[in-house]
Amino acid sequence: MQNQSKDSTIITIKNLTKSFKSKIPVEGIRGKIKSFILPKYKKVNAVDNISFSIKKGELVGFIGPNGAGKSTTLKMLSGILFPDFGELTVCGLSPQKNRKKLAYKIGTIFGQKPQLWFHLPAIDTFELFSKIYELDKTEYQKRVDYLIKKFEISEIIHQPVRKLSLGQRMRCEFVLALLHKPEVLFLDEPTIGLDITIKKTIRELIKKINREEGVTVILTSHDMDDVETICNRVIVINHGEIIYDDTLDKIKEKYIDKKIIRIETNNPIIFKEREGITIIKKSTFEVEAIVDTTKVDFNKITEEFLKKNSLSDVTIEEPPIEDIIEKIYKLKKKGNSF
Amino acid sequence: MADNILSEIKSNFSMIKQYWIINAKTAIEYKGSFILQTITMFLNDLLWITFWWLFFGRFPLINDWTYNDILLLWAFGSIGFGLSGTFFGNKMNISELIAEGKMDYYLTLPKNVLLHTLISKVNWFACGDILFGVIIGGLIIKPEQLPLALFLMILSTALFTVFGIISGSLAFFIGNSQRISKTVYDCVVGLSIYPTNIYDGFARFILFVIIPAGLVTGVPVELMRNFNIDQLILMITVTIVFVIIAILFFYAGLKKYESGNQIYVNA
Amino acid sequence: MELLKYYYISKINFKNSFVYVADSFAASLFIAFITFIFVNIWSVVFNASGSEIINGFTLPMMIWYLVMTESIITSQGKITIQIGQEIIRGDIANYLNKPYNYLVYKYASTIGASVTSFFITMFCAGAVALIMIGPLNFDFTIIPFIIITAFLGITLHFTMMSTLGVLALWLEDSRALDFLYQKILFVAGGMLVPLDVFPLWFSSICVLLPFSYAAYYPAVLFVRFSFELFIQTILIQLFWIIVTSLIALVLFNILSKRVSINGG
Repeated sequence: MQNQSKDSTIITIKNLTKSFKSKIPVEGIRGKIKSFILPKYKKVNAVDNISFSIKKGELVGFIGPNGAGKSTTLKMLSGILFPDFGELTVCGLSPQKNRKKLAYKIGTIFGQKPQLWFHLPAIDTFELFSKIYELDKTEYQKRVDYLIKKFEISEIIHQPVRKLSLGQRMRCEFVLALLHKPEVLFLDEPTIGLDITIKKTIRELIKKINREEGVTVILTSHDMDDVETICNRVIVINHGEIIYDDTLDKIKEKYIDKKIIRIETNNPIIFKEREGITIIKKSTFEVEAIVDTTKVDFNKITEEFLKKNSLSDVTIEEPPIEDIIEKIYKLKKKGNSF
Repeated sequence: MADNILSEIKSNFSMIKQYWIINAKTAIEYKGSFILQTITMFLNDLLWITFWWLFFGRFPLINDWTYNDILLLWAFGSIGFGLSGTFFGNKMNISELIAEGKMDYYLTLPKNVLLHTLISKVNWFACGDILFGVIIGGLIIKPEQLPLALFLMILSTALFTVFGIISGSLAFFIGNSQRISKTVYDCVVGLSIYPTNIYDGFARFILFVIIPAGLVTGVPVELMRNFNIDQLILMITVTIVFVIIAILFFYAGLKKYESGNQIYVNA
Repeated sequence: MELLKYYYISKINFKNSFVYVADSFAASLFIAFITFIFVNIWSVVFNASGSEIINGFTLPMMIWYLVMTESIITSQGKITIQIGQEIIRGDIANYLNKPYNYLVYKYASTIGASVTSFFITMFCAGAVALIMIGPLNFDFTIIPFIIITAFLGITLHFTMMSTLGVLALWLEDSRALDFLYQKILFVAGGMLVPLDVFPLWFSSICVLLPFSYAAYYPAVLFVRFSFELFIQTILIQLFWIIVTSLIALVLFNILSKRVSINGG
C-alpha cells in the first residue's frame, strides 16, 4: 500500500461541461424521410459546469434520475468520452490525454455490459486480462488466488460463465475488475437486475475491498439501498447540475420532515385529531398516520397518546429515502441553501 | 526509446497470443460448430469454382484469362480473406460495436484501440477459406513462383483487413450504418471474386486505385501471369497508402465517438 | 374465416416494412453492383464469340435474365436462419400455442416484405441494366403472367428454405444449410447464368430438381416468353411448392410433438 497521507485527492473535476446533439424524432413516413435527409437537432446539456473532488478511499454514490448526467460523468472520468469544457484529473492523469496510462489504474463495471467471455470459464478471461494489463506472471498468480479466495469463487471459475448464476457472475466480474489493483473503481449500476440477496453480497464485497485495499469507489445506482449501504458520500445530480454533495445522514437530518406511525391498541382508540397529523387509516383498535414533524412535536404527541391508550403494537417509519431524493431532484441549486 | 517500442511490441504479442488461446478455447467448446463452419466455407468455395468450371467449359477464355487464372484468383482471394478473418476477425463487427457503444470496452483498457478491436475475435469460418486456398494454391502455383505468391498474399490480407476497417468505421460517421457498412464491404469483396480483367478505362481506374478491390486478387493474378516490376511497386504502394488511410479513418471516427454524439442512448 | 387472419398478419407486417425497405434497398445496391460486373463479363464473352446470340440469349437477355433471378432470390430474408434460430432457441414454443400454423404464419408475415424487396431489386438492378445495356424487347402484355410465375418462384424459394430451417432441429446449425442452399442455387438454380449455357448432361439433371423452378424458369419466361413454357412452368412450380411444403409440415409436426413431449 502506498504511504500517502489519507487526505490525498484522487479525482478532481472543475467546471466540467458536456452537451449532446440529439436528433428530434419525427412520426410518420414523410417525417422520417425528411428527418433522414435534413435532421433537426436539439442541444442537451448532459453535464453543466460541475465541480467536485474525491479523496482517496472515499465511497461516493452518484445519483440522479435517468438522463441526469451520471453515466456521462462516469464515462468522462474513465476516458470514454471527452468533455466539451473543463478540467478533469484522475489519479493525477488527464483521461483525455493519457487514456492508456490511466487505464492501468482504473477498473470499471458497467452493469449491463459484462466483460467476461460468456462461453468460457472465468479463469480464461482473468488470464486474458493479465496479458492486457501486462501483469507479471507470479504477481498475477498471487493476486488472482487471493481474489478468488476473497470472493469465494474457487468452485466456479472453471465452469463456463453462461452456466453460472447472476450472483456468481457478478462476483467473477468484480475479481476481473480488481485483478490489476486499480486505484479507482467505477461502478455503473452494478446491481441492476439482481435479486436482493445477491445485492447484499455485492454491497458487502464493495465495502470490503474499499476497507482492505483503499480502492476509491464511484458508484451510480438507481437503488437507494445500494447507496445507503455502501456510500459515505452522495452526489445528487439532475439536469447536468450538482444539487447536493454531502453525506446521506445530513440529507436525512435536513429533509426528513415526517414520520409514518402505525399503532394497534388494546382499547378503542382515544385520539384527538389536529393539524400536522394526517390520518391514513383508522379503525377501532388501529390507526395509521403521517406526522409532520415540522408542525408537531413528535415526542409530545406520543406522550399524550400513551397516557390515554394501551398499546399492543407500534411501528414508526421514516419516508423512504427515494421520496426524499425525488424532492431534492426537484430543487434547483440556485437560491437554495443546502 | 527503442526499448520502449520493443517492449510495447512484445506486450502486444502477448495479448494477441492470449486472444488466440481464448478464441481457440471457444471454438473447441463448440467444436461441432467450428467443423461445420469450416466445411461450409470450403464447400462454398468449391461450388464457386465448380460454377466457373462449367462456365469456362463453355467459354474457354474471358479476354485472355483461362480457368487456371480463375483458380489463381480464388487462391489469392480465399487465402487473403481467410488470413484476414483469422487474424483480424473482429473487423466484421466494427460497425455493430460502434452502434452498440461497445467500443467503451476497448477504451477502458490500456491497449491500442484499433489493434485490440481487430484481434479480439477470430472468424472461424475463415479457416475453411484458408484450407481451400492452400489446396488450390498448392495445386496450381508453380514452386518457383511460390515466394512471390506468398508475398502477394500478405498484401491481399492487408487489403481485405483495410476494407473491413474502412467499411466498419463508417458507423462512426453514419448512424445505423450496419447495412451500409455491410453493403460496401460485400461490394468490394464481391468484386474480388470475379475476373478483374473485364474492365477498362474509367471503371478500371476506380476499381484498381480509388477502391483497390481489383488489387486484392486481380493484380496478383496478373503479376503471376506476367511479372512486371512496375505493377508490383504500384500494388505495394497502394496497399501501404490504404493501410494508413484505414488507420487514420478509424481513429478520426474514434475521436468523434469519444466526443459523444452517438452515445446518447446510454445516458 | 380461418384464412383471413393470415391476411391480417401479412398486412401488419407489411406496414412495419420501413426497416425491411431500408434493408432490401441496401441488398439491392449490392445486386445492382453484381449486375454491373456481369454486364462487363458478358460483354467480353459476346465480343469474343463474334455472335449476337449465345445459347438462344442475346446480351440484353442475359442481363435482364440476371436481374429477374436476383430479384426473386434476394427477395426473401434469411428464412432458413430465422426458422432455424427460432427452433434452436426454443422461441418456437411461443408459436405452438397459437391458433395458427407456424409455417403458414411465417409465410404470411414475410410475403409482404418479399414482394416489396422484389420490386426494389428489380428497380435498382434494372436501372443499371437499362443504363448499361438498354431495355429488353419486352411485350407488356406478358406482365401478368410474369408476375404469377415470379410470385410462385418466390413462394417455392420460401418453402425450400423453410424445409431447411426446420432441419435445424436435428442439425443444430442453420447457417451452414442456408449458405450451401444459396450456393447450390447459383449452380443448379441458374441464378447467375442460364442453365442453357451449361453442358447438356448437367442442365438435364438440374431441370429435374426444384431449384431451377425458383429462379431459372421465371427468368427465362421474362426474357423469352412462350405460353406453353408458362403453363408447364407454373404447373411444375405448384408441384414443387406442394411437395416441399408437405415435407416441411411433416418435419415440423415431428418437431412440435418433440417439443410438447420434452417441454421445449
